[in-house]
Amino acid sequence: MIDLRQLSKIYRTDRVETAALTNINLKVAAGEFVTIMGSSGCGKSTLLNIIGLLDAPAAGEYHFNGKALHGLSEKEKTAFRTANIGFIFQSFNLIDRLTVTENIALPLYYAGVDAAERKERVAKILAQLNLSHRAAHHPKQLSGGQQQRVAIARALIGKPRLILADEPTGNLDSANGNGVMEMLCDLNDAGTTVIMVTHSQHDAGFSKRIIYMKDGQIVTEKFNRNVSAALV
Amino acid sequence: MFRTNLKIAWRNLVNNKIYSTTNIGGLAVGISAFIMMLLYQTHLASFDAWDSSFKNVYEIRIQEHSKNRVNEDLSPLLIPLLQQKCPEIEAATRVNSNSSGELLRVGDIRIYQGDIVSVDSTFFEVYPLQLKEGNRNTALNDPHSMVITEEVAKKFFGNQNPMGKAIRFDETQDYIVTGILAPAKGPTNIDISVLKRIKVPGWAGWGNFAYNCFVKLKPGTNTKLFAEKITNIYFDAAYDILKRWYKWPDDRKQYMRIPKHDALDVINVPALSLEHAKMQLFVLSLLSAVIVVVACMNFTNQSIANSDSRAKEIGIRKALGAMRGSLTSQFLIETLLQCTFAVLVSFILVELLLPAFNQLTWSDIKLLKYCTQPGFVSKILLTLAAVTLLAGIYPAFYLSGYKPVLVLKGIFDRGTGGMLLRRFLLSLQFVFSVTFVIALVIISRQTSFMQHYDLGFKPEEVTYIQIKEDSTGAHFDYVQQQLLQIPHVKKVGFTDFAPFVDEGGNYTLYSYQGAQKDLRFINISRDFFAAMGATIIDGRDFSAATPSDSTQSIIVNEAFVHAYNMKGSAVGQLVTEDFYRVSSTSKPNPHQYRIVGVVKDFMILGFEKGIEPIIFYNNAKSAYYAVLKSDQRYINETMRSVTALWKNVEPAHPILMSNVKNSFSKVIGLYDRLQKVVYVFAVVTIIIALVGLLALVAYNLKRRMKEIGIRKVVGASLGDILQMLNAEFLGLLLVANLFAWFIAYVLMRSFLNEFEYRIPMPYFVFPVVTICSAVLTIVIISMRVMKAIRTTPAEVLKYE
Ligand SMILES: Nc1ncnc2c1ncn2[C@@H]1O[C@H](COP(=O)(O)OP(=O)(O)OP(=O)(O)O)[C@@H](O)[C@H]1O
Ligand SMILES: [Mg+2]
Repeated sequence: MIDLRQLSKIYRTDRVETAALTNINLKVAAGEFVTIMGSSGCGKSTLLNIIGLLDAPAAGEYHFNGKALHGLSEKEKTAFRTANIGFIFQSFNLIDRLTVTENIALPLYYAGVDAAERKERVAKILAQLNLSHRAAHHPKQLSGGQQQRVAIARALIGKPRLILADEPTGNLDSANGNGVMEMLCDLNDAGTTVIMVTHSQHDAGFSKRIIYMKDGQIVTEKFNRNVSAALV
Repeated sequence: MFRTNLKIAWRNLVNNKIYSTTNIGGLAVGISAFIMMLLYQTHLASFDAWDSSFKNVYEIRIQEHSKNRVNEDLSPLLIPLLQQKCPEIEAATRVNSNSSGELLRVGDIRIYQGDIVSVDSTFFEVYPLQLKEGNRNTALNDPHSMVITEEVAKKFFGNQNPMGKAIRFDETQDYIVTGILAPAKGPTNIDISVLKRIKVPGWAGWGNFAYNCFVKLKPGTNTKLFAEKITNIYFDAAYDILKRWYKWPDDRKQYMRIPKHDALDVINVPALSLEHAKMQLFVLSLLSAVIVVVACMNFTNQSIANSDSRAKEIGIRKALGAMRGSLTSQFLIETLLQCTFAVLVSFILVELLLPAFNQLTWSDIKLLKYCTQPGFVSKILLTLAAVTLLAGIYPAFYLSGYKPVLVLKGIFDRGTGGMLLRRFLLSLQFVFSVTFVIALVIISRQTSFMQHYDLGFKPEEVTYIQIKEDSTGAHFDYVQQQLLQIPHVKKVGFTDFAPFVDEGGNYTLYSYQGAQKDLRFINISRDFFAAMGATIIDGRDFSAATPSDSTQSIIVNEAFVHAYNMKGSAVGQLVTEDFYRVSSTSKPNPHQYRIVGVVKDFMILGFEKGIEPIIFYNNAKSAYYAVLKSDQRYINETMRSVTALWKNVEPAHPILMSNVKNSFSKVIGLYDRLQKVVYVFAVVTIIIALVGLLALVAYNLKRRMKEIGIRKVVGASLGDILQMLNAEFLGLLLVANLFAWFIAYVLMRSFLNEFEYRIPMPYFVFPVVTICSAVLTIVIISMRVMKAIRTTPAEVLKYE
C-alpha cells in the first residue's frame, strides 16, 4: 500500500541545516501494523508526518496504492488525506472550544458530509468507544484516556484505510495506554493499516513489524515471530 | 542594568522589523494628531499672553442667550457710560477693525490698505503695544492722528521719516502720522496696520452693534460682580430700546427673572483665542485623544500577539532568578524606546503636515518655535510617558507574569482575557473610519455639485467694479456708453448688491393685496440682468424710454410671485412699499409701484440660502458696483482697457474689480477646506484601523494556531480556515458599519440641510462604503492569515 523510495527531508533554519531523513526506503502492505522506534530526534515524527501528507519530503518518491503522492498540490493532498488517513497524536490535539461530538465530526464536516449523516455516524462511533455519555462535554472536562479515545474516534470517523499514531500512549498511564493499544489492534484486525511511533517496548509488542531508526535512517527491522512469516 | 535593558530592547526592535514598523507607525500617526492639537492649543494660548499686563485686560461681550450666541460687537455708547460709572475701570477703549481696506493716498501713491483699526485715544493704556517712534501717551490725542506699522510707512514714504506727515483717507480726511508701531512681542488678537482715532457717527445709538470694547480693570476686581454691575448699567440706559428690538417684556424686572436672559460679561484677553476656537479645539482634542488611545490599544494587542516568541526568554530569565519587577521594567523600557521612536517619527509627520494645517486654520504655527518652549516640551514628555504606560503596562505585566515552569514546558495560557474589550476597540475604529469615509464621499459630492451648478450664467464672464465715488452712479448712461465702447464688453449694468460678495442686504416692508411682508430689495440700473446673464421671463427690463420707471416701476423675481401666490401674470400688479427706503425721501408714504417685469430666479447668496423674494428698483444712483459682461477669451486685454478707462471715471480711486468666478470659488472654498479636513481624518482613521485590524488578526492567529493546525490535519482547506477567521471580523465590521451608518446619516443630514441647494442624500454611498470596507478587511485578513499558515500542517502542530 505504501511505497517510499529514497525519501529525504532537510530542515533549514537560519544558517543551520538538519537532515531529518536521509534516503528512506520503506514498503508497508495493506493491513499491516508497523511500529517505528528510535532515539529522540532520529526523525520518526518527520517520517510519519510525510506519510500522512502533513509535511512534504525534500527529495524522493511516495506512492500510495501505486499513486504518486509526492507531486500533489496542497489541495489535492488535503483531499487525499481526508479520504484515506486518520491521525492520533501524543497530545491528543483536540480543539478545546468544541464539544466531543463536534471534535469528532470535524473531518466529516470538511469532507462535506451533511449534518444528519454526521450526527448518525458520530453517535455510532461514540457508542462503540463507550463515550456516549460524554458527547456534550468539552475535552478539558475529560481524563487523558478519554481524550485519547475521542481523538481515536475522530481519526476513525472518516473510515480511513491508514491510521498514523505518533506516541499515542505517551501521555497516558499503563492501564489507559493498554486500552488504546487494544483499540489499535482491533482496528488492525478489522483491516485498517496502522503505523505507530512509540518509545515503549511494551507497546511495540502489539505490532507485527518493528522498524528501528537512527539519525534519519532506517537501521534494522524486526518481525514479531508469531506473525512475521505470513507477511513478507 | 538600564543600559543592558536598553541594549536588549534595541536588539528586539531590530530583529522584528515588520512588527516594530507597524507598531511604531500606528503610534506615530496617532501621536502626530495629538501633537498637532497640542501645537494648535499652545499657539492659541500664546495670543496676547506676552505681556503680564494682559491679565487685567478684558473684552466686554453680550451673552445673547435668546439667540444662543455671544456677541462681541457692542454699541459705541457703552464704553463712555461705563467709564463714568465704574471706578474699577482703569482704562478702556473701543476698537473697530476694517480688515477689507480703505483707500489711502500720499501724493500719487494710492493703496487700498487693510487692517485699519480705529480706537480711542486711550488704546495704549489698555493694550501694551509699544511704539518704535513717537510717544505712546500722546500719540492718539489728536482726533486726526494715527500710528502706522513700519511696513505701511515703507509703502508710502519709502526711506523718508514718516513722523508728522499726512495720509489722506478715502480722499476726504488727512490723518497725521504720530507714531510707528513696534512689532508685537507675540501674536495678537487685533491685526493692525494702521491705528487711527475712532469717529463715531452722531446718529449711532444703542441699536448700533459694531464696536469691540476692551477694559483694563484694577487688579483684584471681581469680574463676576463687575459683569453684573455693567449689565445693570447697560439695561438702565438701553432696555427701553432693546425691548422693542428683541420683543422683550415691557417690565424689565419681569425680563430679569427669566433664568437665561441676555447679559454682559467679560473675558480675559489672553483667553480670547482659545475661546473663539473652543469648539474646534474640543473636537480636535477629542478626536486626537481617541486616535492616540486606540493606537495604544493596537500597540498592546501587537505586543501580546508577539509575546509568545518572548515567552521562552522570560521563562529562562525567571528560572535564572530575574525578579518580576525587573522584567516588567525591561518591557516598559522596550515600549518607551518604541514610543520615543514614534514621537520622533511623528515630529517629522507633523512638520510635513503643518503647512496644510496652517492653511486650514489660518495660522502660522512653526514646530521649531514651540520645540524650545518649556511648556510645550513638558507636554510632549508627558504625552510620551502617558503613551508608554498606556501602551506598555498591560503587556509588561502580562509577559512578566508567565510562570517559568509552564513556559519552559511550552505550555502557557494565551488567555482570552480582554478579548471583548479588544473587539470593542477594533469595532470602534471601524466605526470611526467608515463614518469618515461616508462623510468624505457625501461632502465631496455636495462640493462638486456646487462647483458644477448651473448658475444660469457663466460666472467667468461677469466682472464687478466697485463704485467708490457718489457721482458715478448719477452718470450711469455716460459710464455705460463708455464701457460699451471697449471691444468685447457686451453688457454693462449697475447694482448695489454683488452676488456672492455681499452678505447682508436691504429689507423693507411691502404689501400686496393686504398681505404685508419684510422683503429684500436691490437697486439696479437697466441692463443689469443682461449683464448678469439673468433672463426676464415676463414683462420687460427697465428702459431709458420710460423715465417713470425710476419712480413707479419695479421688477420682481419668481420667488416674489410665488410668495404672494399671484395668479396669472404678475406684470401690471401694484405693490405697496410701506416704509421709506433710505434713498427715496422725496416720495409719498405709502408709495405704490407697478410690476413691469419678472426675472427668472438666480442665485445671489451662495448655496446655503434659498432664493428669497426680491424687489428690484430702477435706481442706478445708489449703485456700489458696475457689472460687466465680457467675452472671456479676451478677458485680459479687455480688463486692461477697462482699467485705463476707469481712471477717467473715478480718477481718485484706483480700480477695484473682481471676477464673479473668484467670488464664487470663495463661497465654495469653505467646503473645500472642510472636505480636506475630513479627508485627513479619514486617512488617519483608516490607517489606525488597519494597524488595529492587523494587530488583532495576529493576536487571534497566535491564539488559535493549534486549532488551525488540527483543523488542517482533519481536512480543512485554506479556504475553510480563511472563512472561519474572516467570519469573526466581518461580524464586527458589519455591526460597526451599522453604527457608522447611523452616525454618518445624522451628521450628513444636518450638513446637507445647511444648503438650500443640495444633493439628495446619496443612500447608495452607505452600502458601497460598507462593501469596500468588507473587501479591504477580507483582503488584509487573508493576506495575514496566508502568510501565517502557508507552512505545512506539521509545522503548525509543532507549535504547541
Ligand atoms: N521545524 C524544524 N526545523 C528544524 N529542525 C527540525 C524541525 N522539526 C524537526 N527538526 C529536526 O529534525 C530532526 C527529526 O525530528 P523529529 O521530530 O522527526 O524527531 P523524533 O524522532 O520524532 O523525536 P522525538 O522522539 O523526540 O519525538 C530533529 O533533529 C529535529 O531537531
Ligand atoms: Mg516525535
